[in-house]
Amino acid sequence: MLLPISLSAALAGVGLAGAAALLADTGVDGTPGGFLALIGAVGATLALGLLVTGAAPPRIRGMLKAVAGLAAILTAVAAFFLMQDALLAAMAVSFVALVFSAVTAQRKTV
Amino acid sequence: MKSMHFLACLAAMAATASHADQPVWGTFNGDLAATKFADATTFTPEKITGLERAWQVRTGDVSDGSGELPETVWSATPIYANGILYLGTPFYRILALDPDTGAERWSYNTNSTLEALTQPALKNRGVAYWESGAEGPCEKRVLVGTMDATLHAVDADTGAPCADFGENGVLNVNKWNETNAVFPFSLLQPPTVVGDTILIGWSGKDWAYTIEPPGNLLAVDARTGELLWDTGFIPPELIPVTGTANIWSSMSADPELGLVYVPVSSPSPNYWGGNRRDPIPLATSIAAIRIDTGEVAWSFQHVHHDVWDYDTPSAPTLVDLQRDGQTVPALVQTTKQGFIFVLDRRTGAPLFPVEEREVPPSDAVGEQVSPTQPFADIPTPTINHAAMPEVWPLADMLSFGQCSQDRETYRYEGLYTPPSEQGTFLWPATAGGNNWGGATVDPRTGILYVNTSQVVQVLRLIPRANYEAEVEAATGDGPASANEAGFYPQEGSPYGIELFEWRTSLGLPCWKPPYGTFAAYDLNTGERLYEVPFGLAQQWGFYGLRSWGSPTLGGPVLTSGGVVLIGASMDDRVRALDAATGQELWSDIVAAPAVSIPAVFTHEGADYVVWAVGGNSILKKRVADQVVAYRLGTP
Repeated sequence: MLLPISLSAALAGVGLAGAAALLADTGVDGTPGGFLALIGAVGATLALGLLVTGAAPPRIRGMLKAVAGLAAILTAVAAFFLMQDALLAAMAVSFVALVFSAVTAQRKTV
Repeated sequence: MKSMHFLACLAAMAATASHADQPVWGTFNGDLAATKFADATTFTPEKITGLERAWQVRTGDVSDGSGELPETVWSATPIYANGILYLGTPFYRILALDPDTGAERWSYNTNSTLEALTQPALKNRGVAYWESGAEGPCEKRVLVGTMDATLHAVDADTGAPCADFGENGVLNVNKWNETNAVFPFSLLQPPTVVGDTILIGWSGKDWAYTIEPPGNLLAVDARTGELLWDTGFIPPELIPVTGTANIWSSMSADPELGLVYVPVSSPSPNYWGGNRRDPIPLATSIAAIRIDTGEVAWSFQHVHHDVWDYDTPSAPTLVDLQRDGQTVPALVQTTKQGFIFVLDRRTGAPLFPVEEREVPPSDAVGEQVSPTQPFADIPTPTINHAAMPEVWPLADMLSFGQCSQDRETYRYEGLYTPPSEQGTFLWPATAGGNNWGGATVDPRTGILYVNTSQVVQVLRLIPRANYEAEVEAATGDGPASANEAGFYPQEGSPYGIELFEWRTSLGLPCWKPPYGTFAAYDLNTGERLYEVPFGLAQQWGFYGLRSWGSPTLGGPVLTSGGVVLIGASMDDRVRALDAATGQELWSDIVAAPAVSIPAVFTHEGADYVVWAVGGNSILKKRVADQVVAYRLGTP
């Protein structure tokens, strides 16, 4: 349940980052920072997508979680300095949900 | 007869010169006193958060320099007069817009050459307006200048050229460019109109030559374009060896005193003065010129033997102050070097102490700088001259100590440390401090509001023998891209120059923030009421912290309701500040840095603020062609 929430939030982040980077008069449109945030959100979404759909082999699931978490948190940091509050919130939710998902999965294993 | 004509002009000018009761925004600075004070009573701290975008227009007159056209720089202040909003564009067109919808009433194209003849970019700061008081064609006129030195006059109602002005509405100002004419008289700043006299300053090509056209102020008849007088600022005996000391910025005027106050720039070349050791008293000065004759009534030189390009950057602001129970007609000049000079505008006498202090000597070949310079500690300068900003530890760490090393390498012994071959820190930077946007003042209280850039540059003199090789080594393709790389030749002098901001190789400023501030001063006492960081710095899209502020280009406007309206910052925002505290009340994102002074006016009962949003690569690489108007939403 938590991974789909993380994916949904990251997907929303892609939309928000895309809007910030590509739409006019956002203050960061067309800037390297705007595109970097978009790439980060897309990266997190792709990794989470592979995790949620089960398309990823079990041996790389841990690595995908790390990549998704890193992409989400770095995109949130970028969003903070880009003054994109909605993007910051989306990526923070994605990151927190992913972390909780990982912790919960670990407890179940234990 | 001449004096009768002048008195009639004075009467006509009185309405234009007054501020609080003036519903129009008829000049670059709002009024002839350059107060930038608008009687917009609804723009109060309580209501301004309800400011909404009324309309926006894209003019199409923009270039980022990637195509055939040079880059554009647009710093126009819209003019609101005759019930219409008038703008000049960097393609040297006039647009007449409906103030409440932005719909185009008419446009006029000067068909000027779109070449960067004197400036690195196509540049325009707007238009001027004149009216005779009579009815009929061309009794109201809009004037726009071009980079190739023509002044166009068109009918304010229709945009049709005024045939009686110059030749069919076009005055070739360059016909008066007769001496050392290495560049044309570029008319980028709109002229100043006082009564029936048009006062024209011009821009040249900075940092390129040693011998240039000598700066002057041209007065022409508003109806015919006939030259009335021409006042020069370089002593005749020095004209063969130097030049400029021109007026590239806006002016102010006191019609009652019959004086126009002009900000005179530095002589050429800008960063070495061995060719001009004899005094040039009017260079880098504020000069009061008699409007009827062109005679210099008084002048105040605020930099002696300028080798820092600390031009007088803006129109002096005229305001009446209280001193010892008396009302004194004063003049306030903000400067690139951060001093605020407050003078009696009748005589030029300082109203606060101005002290000549010893400054460091030069070690440049043939140079002999002035042993002293004027310092004014009251009001508190907008720049802290006591010490250069410290090295920013974060930038120093990320650059592996480059900033600390630079601090040891380059020369700085206080304000007015002369340019040197080893490299000299310019603090403040050559653009100031305070630049052409100037200040705004409340004529009711004598409180002044001003934005300031806190930027450090490095200037290095390069011996002539090494100049070409250094440019080649730095650019790879020689002089073609020298200016973009920060190299300028100062042809005819022993030195070319390299000028750059003090940054790390990653682009981080090496000096501690803030990078820009906003401050208020009580001019009656000289006390600084507050100073706060202003705007947001931005690099690659990422914003700096609020406490860092932003360098600024452009000026503020104060409303009678107690709100300051200002763009100017590098973060593509226009803002409303609480005049009492400097705190931000409202902001909006626009298409580029709004490097302009807004127009604030009342049209059909509604208060408006309108910005031209054009950008300037001095702040960051982003240009636009946006005109954006705001008014309060329906309650």
